[in-house]
Amino acid sequence: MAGKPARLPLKAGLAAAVGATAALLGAVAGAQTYPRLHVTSFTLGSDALRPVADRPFHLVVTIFVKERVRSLDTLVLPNLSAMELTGDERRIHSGPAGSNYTENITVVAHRSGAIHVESAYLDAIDARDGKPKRFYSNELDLVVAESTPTGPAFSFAQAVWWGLRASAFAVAAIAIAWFLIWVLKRIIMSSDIPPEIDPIDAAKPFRTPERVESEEQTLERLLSDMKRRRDRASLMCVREILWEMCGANEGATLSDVIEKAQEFRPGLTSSLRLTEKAAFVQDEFFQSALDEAIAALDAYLR
Amino acid sequence: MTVATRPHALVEALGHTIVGQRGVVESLVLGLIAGGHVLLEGPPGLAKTLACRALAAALDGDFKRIQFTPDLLPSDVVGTRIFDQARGLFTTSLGPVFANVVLADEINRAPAKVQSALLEAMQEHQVTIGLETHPLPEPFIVMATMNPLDVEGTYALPLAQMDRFLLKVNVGYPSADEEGHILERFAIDETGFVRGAATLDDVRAWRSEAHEIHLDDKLKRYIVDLVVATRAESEYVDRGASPRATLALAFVARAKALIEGRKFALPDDVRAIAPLVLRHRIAFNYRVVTDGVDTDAFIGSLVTKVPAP
Repeated sequence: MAGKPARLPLKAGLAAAVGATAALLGAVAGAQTYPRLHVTSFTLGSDALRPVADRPFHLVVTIFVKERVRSLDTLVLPNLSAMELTGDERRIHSGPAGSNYTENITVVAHRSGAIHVESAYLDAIDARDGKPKRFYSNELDLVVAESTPTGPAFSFAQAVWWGLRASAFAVAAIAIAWFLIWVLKRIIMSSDIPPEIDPIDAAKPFRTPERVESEEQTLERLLSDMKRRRDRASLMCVREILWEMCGANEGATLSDVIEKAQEFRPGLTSSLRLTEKAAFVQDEFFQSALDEAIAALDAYLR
Repeated sequence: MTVATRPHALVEALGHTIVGQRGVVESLVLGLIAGGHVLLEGPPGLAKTLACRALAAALDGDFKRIQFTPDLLPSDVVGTRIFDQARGLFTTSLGPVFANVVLADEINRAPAKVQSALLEAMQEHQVTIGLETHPLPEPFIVMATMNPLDVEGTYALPLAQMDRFLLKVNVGYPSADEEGHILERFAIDETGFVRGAATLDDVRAWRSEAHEIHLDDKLKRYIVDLVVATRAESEYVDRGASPRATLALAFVARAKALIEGRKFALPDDVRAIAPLVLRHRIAFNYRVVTDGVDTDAFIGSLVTKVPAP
């Protein structure tokens, strides 16, 4: 922080702008007609439950709705004033079984200690009973660790060791960068078609361009999340994408999906059966059923 | 030590007697496990009676058949008190309803008071004759048949009484191949029943096992959504299904999971049995007839409209 005084006003400005946008969205949400949604899952997570001070990490908001939606305008993020906001990426993946909304917020905490993040919420008409409702995500408790050793314990020998390590990393990074540039040049020279470069949207400085993820990539991502969390909610996310991959319609059940899978993705049949079993089995048998589902999915992805 | 027969084995055994009609056979076993009564509707000659007799034979239980006719009396069904001249006192003669499997053939041909007598016995599992109350044997299952074509001289069952039946099975015509098999099997030979495929103790064990089948909260919600959907405003529906239908869906979904050899029910189970449970519990109005709406197709579309978990 102290080494970058020129960037401070810019970051503060970014945070203020995001805050203002969130407040404006909240006000607009109050005035507009709420969307009719069947919310099946709404979670707030982080890729680091013990983040390190001054190092960026991500907060991830995930929502599954049974409808096909292009955006969720009534989603209100929690107050993140305890951290510095450095990026915000939104992805929405819609299919016949519904939509999977993921918002990846990049933040940096500058002070060590505990941080409590309140729930995000979404205002919508609940498609199950037609009543307007406010859906809340879970809350999040983070413990920020110190960034680097400081003070008298940081000896001269340690400083030399850190310096050498930093130099080695710098040399390796330069070598990798040179190698990548060389490979890129070769590819460009061997192709007549110039590579397409996405235009940078200057009006949305916080939002990185949307990545187009294949269904298999989404499955891999959700599967690794399920392996980490080992709960029924993450299993339902994997089941959702599996059904989407097979082109399941609304109201479909396993037998419909298997019928379609046997035609288009025969390799998925066993994964479909085992995820269904894990989704509806008793709690005491859930972990073993989950292991069976993971093994089948790993076999499919291999 | 003997190994208890599984419900699936009973379905297979009945399949040896009944050609095709797999759905009918499975529905009878579902009713048996879920502890409910089954109404079979279909034109004459489609093995409705044969299916019931085959089930009774396979179980080695008591089987009684009551042919419902316009001159039948309640005492012909439940029993009556007879004066014993030799001993000079009244004795009770129990009616044909005292059996494990009772076939009420053409139930809509008897007047309402006879139907009521039987339906009361079905509900209470006991019969009161004079001042004495007689419990019915357990398991006790009534399979009633109805012919939808010859409606002249019949007494239609009111919706409240139809609701007492756990399942209503529509029996359809067999395929050409199945009809060929029927010709081969029954043209020469007498009907051969498989006997003793399961015991009455097996049935009691299946019933307690079915109660242990896990029904996830998502599935319970789905069942409620399905029943609530039948009550939604529709140009063809006067009244939707009652909460008894909600309970019936849960019982029968568990029984279905047991037949499939699972200890947990799936949305597939609920969807498969939903028409059997709902078709006689929804009151359709006259527009169904004037617009020529197929009520089964209507229920099918209603079920697929409710998102499964």
